[in-house]
Amino acid sequence: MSDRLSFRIALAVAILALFGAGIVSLVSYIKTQASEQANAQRTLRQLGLTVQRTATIATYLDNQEIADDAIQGLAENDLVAAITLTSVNGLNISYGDSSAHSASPASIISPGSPVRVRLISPFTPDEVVGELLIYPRQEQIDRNARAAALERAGLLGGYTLVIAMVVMFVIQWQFVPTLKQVAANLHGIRPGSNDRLSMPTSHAQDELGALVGDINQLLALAQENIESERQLRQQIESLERRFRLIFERASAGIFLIDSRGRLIMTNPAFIQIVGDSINSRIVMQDVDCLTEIFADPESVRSIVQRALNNEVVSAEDLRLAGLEEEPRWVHSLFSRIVDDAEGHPDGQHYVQGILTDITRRKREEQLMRFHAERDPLTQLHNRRSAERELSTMLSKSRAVEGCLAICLIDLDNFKPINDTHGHEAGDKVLVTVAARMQGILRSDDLAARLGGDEFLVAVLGQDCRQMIEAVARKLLDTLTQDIELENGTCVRVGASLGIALSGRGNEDIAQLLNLADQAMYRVKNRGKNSYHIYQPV
Amino acid sequence: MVKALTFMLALLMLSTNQACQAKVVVLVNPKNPIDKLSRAQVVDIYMGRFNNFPDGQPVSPLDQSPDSADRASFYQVRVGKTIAQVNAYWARLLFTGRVTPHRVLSDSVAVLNTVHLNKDSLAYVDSQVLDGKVKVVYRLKQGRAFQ
Repeated sequence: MSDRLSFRIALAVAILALFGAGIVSLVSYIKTQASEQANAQRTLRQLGLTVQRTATIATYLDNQEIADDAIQGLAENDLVAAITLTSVNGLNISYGDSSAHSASPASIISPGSPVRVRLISPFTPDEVVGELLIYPRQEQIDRNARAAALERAGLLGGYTLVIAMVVMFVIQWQFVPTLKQVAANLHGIRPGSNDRLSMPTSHAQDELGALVGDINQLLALAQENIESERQLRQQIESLERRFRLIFERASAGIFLIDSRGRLIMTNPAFIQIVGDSINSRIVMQDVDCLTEIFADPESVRSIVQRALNNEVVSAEDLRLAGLEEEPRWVHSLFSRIVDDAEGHPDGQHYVQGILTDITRRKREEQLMRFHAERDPLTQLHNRRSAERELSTMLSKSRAVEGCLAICLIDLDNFKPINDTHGHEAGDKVLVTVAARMQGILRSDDLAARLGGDEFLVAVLGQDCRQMIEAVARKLLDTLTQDIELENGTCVRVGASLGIALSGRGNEDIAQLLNLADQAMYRVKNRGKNSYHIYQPV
Repeated sequence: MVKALTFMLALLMLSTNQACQAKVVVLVNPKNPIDKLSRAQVVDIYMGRFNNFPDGQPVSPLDQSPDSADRASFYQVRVGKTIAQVNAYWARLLFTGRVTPHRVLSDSVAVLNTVHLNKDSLAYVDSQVLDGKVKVVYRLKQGRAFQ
């Protein structure tokens, strides 16, 4: 490569030198020839002026001898081809062949045209007495001019060539070897390494030295960049490793679904939660995964849609699909992810889901709620829970344009049993009564123990009055039957039922309870073991 | 006009200490039909260009002696050359062998006599020595002499 470089420099210099020498030679040739022509003309004119005096006298006198005298001298000169001396009185002397010149019209205006010397009378200043024409020997002049021009051009061209050669050798000896060395050094240097170019000693101050310095700076910069990039790559790698670890080892199930509901990616925890068989059926398949995963895919789909639209992260407890006896629950967190990395200029939208198995927590929660809402002895709703349930039922009755009937039940003759047979016997009575109540009621109806021997049932329907009256009759029938205690003795309780119906301005649970209570006391006062529906007065 | 010319003439005569020398006139035999010659004609004849009068009859010019004042005045004023220059010119002419020099007479009187006797003579003398037996054909105008 370096050999080629030096060859090309030599070639370029040679071409330039030849070109320059050619131009210089050509210009010099043209100028020299022109100046030689002018010189010849001047010489001829000087010759003419030299003999002017004699020629004047010759023409003044028309004297042949003097004329010959004048012309003879001129004719000796080898630049002169022909001479014509004419006087106004008719003298005409020619020497040489002037016709060749005057015959050719081109030569009149060419350098070959004669030098004309006007001859003025020596005694009368204004009188022209004759004319001297000196015809140049044009081919001789041309030859001389050409020779001089050639010599001059040759000299100048040679001079230019010599200078060019010297310049070329200086370049070859001074510049090219250093450049070769720098190039070879640079070729051997691996970017990012500590190697640098050595400064050429004789070129430390010139452009070559500056070039080497700049290259070294670039090398240092490259090394710095490569080093920092390497560190960055390491950081990214370790970060990636950590993220992958988080993804792989997370206890939460992580998955990614695209905007069409297809499952793109899952982690091991997800597979564990959802189950291997379901996972392998839906992951990376063109199916709607939500149907397979969740028990209520429609609501999940709307959650996913919300996440896609609003970027609102929605956290929900969701039930998983599956035929297991005990329902399984997951806490789910959905959020939108916009992948605006390369290849997705528009930003592919995904929904990332995070699942936590909360089946156990859910179970405990339900258990806790059960304990909080139920009377521990009878498993019926307690007073607080009952009031809440009643509110729900009341608003539901309005929705179906029906009515709510509540019935307060106070056991008669319970306290003597408790006192006589003890608390356990009392408890037994209460549990039996509760079981009998539940036996009568449908699953939608409410049964609660408000406290002590006070109970409540409530029904809901289009014709709640008939329904509650049927219930009341059954209750009176069943509750009053014998109850066998642990020790084999049988006891019997009675019941006073007070009923209130919603509607007609009674739209408040507390008010309804109050009315039912009034109705119940009315029964108690009348002789118990019966029911009464509160009638507005 | 005449007064002005007279005044100028007087001025010229006063300004030159050789006023008498300057009045050289050119003359011919009274029988010669030529009445007037121009300056150029006089010069051409005296300098050897023409050997005839303008009307074709031959002419033989007369010169005075080389050291005479009239000769110096004539050539100086008329031709504009010194005697030495004129001599050199004639030497060149004589060298060709085709020209014969003018006849030289010793003084004005000899000149006048010769002109009187020869019809083809042409001569110059000082105007002061003129007699009635010759015809003046050209009067020198002063002023152009000293260049």
